[in-house]
Amino acid sequence: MPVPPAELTAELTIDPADREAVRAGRQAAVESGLALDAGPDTTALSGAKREVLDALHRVMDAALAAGAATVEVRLQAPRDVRRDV
Amino acid sequence: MTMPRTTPTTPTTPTLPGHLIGGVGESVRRPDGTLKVKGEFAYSSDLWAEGMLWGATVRSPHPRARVRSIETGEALVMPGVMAVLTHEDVPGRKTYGLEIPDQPVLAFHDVRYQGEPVALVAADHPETARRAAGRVAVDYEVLEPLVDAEDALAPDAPPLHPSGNVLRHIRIRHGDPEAAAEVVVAGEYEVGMQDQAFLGPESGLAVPDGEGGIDLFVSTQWLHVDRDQLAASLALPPEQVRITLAGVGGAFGAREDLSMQIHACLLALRTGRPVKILYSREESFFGHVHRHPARLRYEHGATREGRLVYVKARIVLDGGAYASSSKAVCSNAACFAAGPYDVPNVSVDCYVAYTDNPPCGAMRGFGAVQTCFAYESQMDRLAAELGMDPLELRLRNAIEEGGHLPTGQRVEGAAPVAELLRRVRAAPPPERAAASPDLRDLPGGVSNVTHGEGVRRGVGYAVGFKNIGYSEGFDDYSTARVRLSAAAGEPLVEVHTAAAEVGQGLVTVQAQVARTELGVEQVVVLPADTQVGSAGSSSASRQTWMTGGAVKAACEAVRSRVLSLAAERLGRAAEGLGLSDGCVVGGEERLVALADLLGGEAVEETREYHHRQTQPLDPENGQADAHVAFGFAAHRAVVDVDTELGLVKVVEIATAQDVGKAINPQAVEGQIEGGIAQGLGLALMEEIQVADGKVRNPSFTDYLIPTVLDMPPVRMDVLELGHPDSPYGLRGVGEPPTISSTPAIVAAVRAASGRPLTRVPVRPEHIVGLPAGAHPDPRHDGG
Repeated sequence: MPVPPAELTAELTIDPADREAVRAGRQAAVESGLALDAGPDTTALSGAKREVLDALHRVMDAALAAGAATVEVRLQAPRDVRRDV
Repeated sequence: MTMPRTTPTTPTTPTLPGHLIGGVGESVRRPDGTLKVKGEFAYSSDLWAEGMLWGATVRSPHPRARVRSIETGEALVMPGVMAVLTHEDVPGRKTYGLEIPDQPVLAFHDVRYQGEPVALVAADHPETARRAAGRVAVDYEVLEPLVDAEDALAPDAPPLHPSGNVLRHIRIRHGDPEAAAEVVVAGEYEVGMQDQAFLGPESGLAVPDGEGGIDLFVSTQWLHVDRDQLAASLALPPEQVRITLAGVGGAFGAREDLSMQIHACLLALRTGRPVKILYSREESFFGHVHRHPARLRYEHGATREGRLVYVKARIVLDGGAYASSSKAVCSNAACFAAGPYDVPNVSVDCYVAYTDNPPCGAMRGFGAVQTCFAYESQMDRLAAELGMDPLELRLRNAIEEGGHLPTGQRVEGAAPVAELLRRVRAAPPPERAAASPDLRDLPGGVSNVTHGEGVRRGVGYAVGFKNIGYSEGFDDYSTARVRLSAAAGEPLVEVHTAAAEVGQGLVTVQAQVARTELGVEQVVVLPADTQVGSAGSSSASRQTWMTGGAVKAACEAVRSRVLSLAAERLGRAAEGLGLSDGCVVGGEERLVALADLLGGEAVEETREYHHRQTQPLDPENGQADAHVAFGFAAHRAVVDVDTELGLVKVVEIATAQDVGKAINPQAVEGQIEGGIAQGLGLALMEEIQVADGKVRNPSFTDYLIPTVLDMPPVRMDVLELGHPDSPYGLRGVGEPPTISSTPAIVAAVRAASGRPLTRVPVRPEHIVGLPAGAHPDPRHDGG
């Protein structure tokens, strides 16, 4: 792996009862270009820290605007990666 | 076989005098060598623990499908079965991955390649586990697989992952994109899917510690990245996941990704018992990534005098179902796409795409292999168009020290491309076979298909290069802990790192560095584990440089403390003191034995070694100082070809390579010969046959690798031109032999057969020139 791994991965789980919010959040994640499937009801955003945080903001915005009641977010940053790129 | 070595151009002498045996520059014998040859070495597949269970993996038979349901009841009720797990039993992150976590630990919705893990079984006997795995009922909605990387890149292709199928696109723009030339040649090339074909299948033993944590003994390449991925998926703090390197039966990149690691730990934590997983040979083909298949379209423009004017390339790599290290492979393919040549104008577009084929990732040469086959084939084509000797064309365009790559990076240190080419040209040619040759010396061997009729000899040349160490801004480092003490009246050095000995010889390198730096003969290299800081991966030809550098730095710190202690005891200035032959010395005078000086005390230091910082590629034009160093090698191949049957006998390989400094010359020879064997395999034999996303040859019966009968004598010329930035001036050794040996062999077969041969591995039907479509699979029309 001679180039750095993703600086940051954000896993988002929107309460599956909020179907419209799940759809809206997923759509925003897909449009970010950073989206990965991370579980049956979970989408992840993975990439450079600034890109992920910006995308996360947009995804949360979209989900909340669509009526999300609960959004769980987990951030993970691998250890073996330079932080300044 | 001889290995002449040139005089270093930069000083690389060990820092201390003495008559020590086993220091830097000596051919130290491997401690595990005899054991391995005699079959007595303990590999990870030999691990055993009292009361252990056996794990088995349920895998998807489909390359693309949706999982509707998983029924585990029938498996669970089988006598001896202790656990059956699905994605619902993954307590932490349900995905993992080296660069991005896109790969499910166990499939939760979609399967994207044949062999993707869906469920796990633990039982008290491996056969029980295997049978129980067969009773896990998975209901699939089978979908049409997307198996062509070009198709996957199309805007209207069905997205295999949420954000589409383009894993990475790198653009390199250097010079004038509209540059025109007097002579132009274009070609399309294809590289098949090569397997690392290590001999020790994936295996390991997970042992629960009774306190919620886990110990894993496994063959791997990078312990700490394994640990961090395990911790995330097991929902444990990293400190509760301890990994110890078990005996590794080869790696070549295939152990950079996780295989059975999380699975064994999940089963062990669920059952509270040790769990061993050992893949069969067939399962191993589905258990690790492979070399990226590639399609490469090139155009070279040159003056009539043979000066390169421009290179344009479009490269498409098939990444398979998951990312693995595809983004980095894409980077290498792009950065080295023009070869080790001075090219004023370069335009490269390199793509890597998701498909439903087996995942591809790291393999020796890492992106540089695919492009080298293409650009060296182009150089031969250009030479033919110019009516010029192919070697002369290469010499005329060879990059030199201080030259610039298409990424704008200046090449620091020696870049002896021309020198390497001259050396392989000057190597004496092998003798022609005798009038009544031994059948084993002829194409087809003892199959007795020819006694020399229809056999033509061909000679081909190639040169290649790639980066050493991690690139694009990665903070590449290794950690070493060194302890000096006295045992039984003799000084003893213990070296502790997490660096994976994967067969490359690191185990002797660490001891050699310690002996040289501390003047102590008795050195113990402790087992690699996560109780010390990360060493990075045993990949990218980096480990001798990085961990050798870390051990050297830790030894220097220990030496400094010991000399301060001696100075205090002896009432002398530390500056005039040194360590040699187990003593503190002042000049030639032995002042005090280390064992006497230390008594019952020990001196221990831990150091990290970082190589200089690199930069990420500019996303618009690919410009950057992205790499820390480069390794260069050249090859001349001599082949005999049965032009009627399309069979090839590689008669000899001559190679010249700059290794900077041969820390262990015998190990260097082994690396060079092994790399050439893998290059020969890609040239003529090795390919995972994938049709509609399904692997058709997952065995060593059907996936052919070179044997001792296929491997020719190697005439080796090793240069030691000392890199300015590295410990002792060394460069990486492991990958360059693989890169240009393949195109050299193919060039030789071209010369003998007169066929264009645009695809590797070259098959007999390509050589005899069967018409397009003669092969049942049209993709194999490489002639």
